Amino acid sequence: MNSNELSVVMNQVASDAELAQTPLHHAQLEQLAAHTQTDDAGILLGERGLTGQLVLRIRGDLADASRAVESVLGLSLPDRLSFHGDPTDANGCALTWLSPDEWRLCCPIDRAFELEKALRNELSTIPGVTHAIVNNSGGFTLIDLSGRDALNLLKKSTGYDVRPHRFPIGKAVGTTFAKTSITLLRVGENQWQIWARRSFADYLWLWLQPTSRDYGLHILKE
Amino acid sequence: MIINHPLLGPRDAAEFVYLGDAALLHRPNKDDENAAQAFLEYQYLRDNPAGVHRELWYHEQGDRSWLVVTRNTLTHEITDVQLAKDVARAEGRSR
Amino acid sequence: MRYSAFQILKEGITGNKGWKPAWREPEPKAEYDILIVGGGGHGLATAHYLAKEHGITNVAVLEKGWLGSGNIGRNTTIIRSNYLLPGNEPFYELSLKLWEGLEQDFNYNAMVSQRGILNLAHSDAQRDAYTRRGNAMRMAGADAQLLDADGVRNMVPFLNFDNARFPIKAGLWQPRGGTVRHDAVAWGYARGADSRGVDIIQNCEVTGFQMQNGQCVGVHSSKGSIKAKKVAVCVAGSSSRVMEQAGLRLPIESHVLQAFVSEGLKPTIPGVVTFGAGHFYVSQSDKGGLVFGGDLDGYNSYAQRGNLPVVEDVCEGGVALMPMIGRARLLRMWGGVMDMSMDGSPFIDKTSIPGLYFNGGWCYGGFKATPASGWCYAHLLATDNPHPTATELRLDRFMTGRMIDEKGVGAQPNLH
Repeated sequence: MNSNELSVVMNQVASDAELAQTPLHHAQLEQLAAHTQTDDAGILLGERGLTGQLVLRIRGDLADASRAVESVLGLSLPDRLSFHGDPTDANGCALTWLSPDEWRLCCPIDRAFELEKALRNELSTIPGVTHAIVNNSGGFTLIDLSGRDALNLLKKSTGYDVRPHRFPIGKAVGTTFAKTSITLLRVGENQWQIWARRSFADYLWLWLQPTSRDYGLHILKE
Repeated sequence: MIINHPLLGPRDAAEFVYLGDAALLHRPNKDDENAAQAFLEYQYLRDNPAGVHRELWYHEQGDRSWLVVTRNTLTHEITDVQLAKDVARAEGRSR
Repeated sequence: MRYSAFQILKEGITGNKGWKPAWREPEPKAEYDILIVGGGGHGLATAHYLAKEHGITNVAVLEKGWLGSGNIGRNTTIIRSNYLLPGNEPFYELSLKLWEGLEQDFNYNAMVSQRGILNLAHSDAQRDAYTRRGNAMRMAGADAQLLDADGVRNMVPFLNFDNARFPIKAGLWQPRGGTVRHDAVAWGYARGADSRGVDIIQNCEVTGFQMQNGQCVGVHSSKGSIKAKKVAVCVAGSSSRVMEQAGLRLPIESHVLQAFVSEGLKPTIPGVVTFGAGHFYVSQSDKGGLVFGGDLDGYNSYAQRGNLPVVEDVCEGGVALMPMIGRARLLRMWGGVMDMSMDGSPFIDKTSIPGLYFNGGWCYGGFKATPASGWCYAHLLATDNPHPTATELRLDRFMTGRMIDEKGVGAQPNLH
């Protein structure tokens, strides 16, 4: 009996018939957007729609494991403090390093189950590699941050060194943000993505709004 | 204070949780003859030096690794940071 | 010289030429009955009560720096006896009673101001816990009143009562709590001890203990070797450093605690207000500055200064509780080194070495304990038996399992 037969994998994502919403759905961002609209906003913020999220933990020969992951996702395992893929593409996948044996995959939510099964299949065939995959969809919300003052907002909010020469595009860092913890990804020249825990999404939003006030805030629609 | 994480680079101490003296890595053996006294000392007594102190910090807001940080308690200067895993391994006590 | 209104009048008329220094500056003798190591509040109080209550005056207090240079000169001046456990509450109530008679006792104005202390409760469970604590206080002879939300509002209307996370539901009010002019306490005790013949020796650092047949018979110091029948260590903040010289390890870590003073403001805050849930407590000094503090920085330190994340945390707690102080400017801040004991409670005890006694582990509650600490330590030194209110403050309580792990007395290192 191989390890795959031991694990019971089920589709944990709600069907279309169920009503699933993002953590900030109740904040009615579109209405807020009308209030906060300025012609010359320095900060652009938006919450991503529901995203599939899988946490991969892998030990053993990471080069072999990386090839297996790549055969499924088209993305190899990123090295520390970085991500692979395009986190801004709602239809694509992005894989982010979290700790020496841990990565998070963000994918379209309707693909999470299929990708989980495929990854389990591929990884369980490699001798000497052990792995665990947890479907964490909905555990985090993804907030897109851009605009000419995005960097200023980050400087106000986190103790991490976010200056461009220390934080190149493609870098991903877990750090503090106000009183909560986030994962921060630099996805473009002036483009960032913030992952916040679902239970702290409100807190983060209530922090981001007044902090953006000095620069002008524009809320993006999905 | 900035702690220079061996894997992740310089990090603000606010990302960490402090546990205390790194001697806490050396848990006594419960089967030893003098185990009660050893556990009393392990649990409650401290060297508490004024000067160089090896201590355990947990990177809770980062990669959740345990670090052994060598820090001067008189100046807060940090002179060495290692993964606790590596320290234990060097002592032959970890995978 | 006895201080009095008459004396002030007399000196005023005669050009203030008759005032004498409040204490002498003697050189150490070769031998004393009792040597007290550490001239902080507790050491000086011990000397004062040894002389006054027990008639033992062949005593010296050795101080590394100058009087008032340690935590007695750098605390937030609060006195109270709002403890729960039987090992603590009678002791702190003794302390509060001694505070009440202190100025008459040592004939010195320490500005003891019983303006009251209020602990805020934010949930039904916390109100119940405060009810229990208030009852325990009253059973030990202290005073305590439970206020409902309206009662708190009448007293301190400027607080944020409707904070979503920590709405104010009730308060435990101890009217006899308050504040004291902290360094005047050191000066008053020094004067009281000195006037009865105790030698107070400043700039005298103890560098080791003299041992003979396993017994402590004196100290080595920067002013030479001094013999003594009994050596009483009383150096909270540096306890581990000093006791290491006698080869003893203690259940203590040294941590840094920061405190803050704002610019002077109009009189606003009637007493002491504590917001434990937000790691913040505050009172207002007679000069108008808000005197406040919060949590430990949370790591071993002897540096007498802290770091900015805790400054931010304390100030956030303050603004959450009292939004009106958001525009007040911080005037100064400082850090003190705390003896953090493993259960949050202190020690007044003999050590395993005959002739060597230990007083320490006061966490961040040492100031309020100053009179009772001196009173009980003097009792122990004079009689070799613990004072009835301090029988639980033993060094071996971690071995015997009789910890006094009271919540609310300060953060224990094992929780950080």
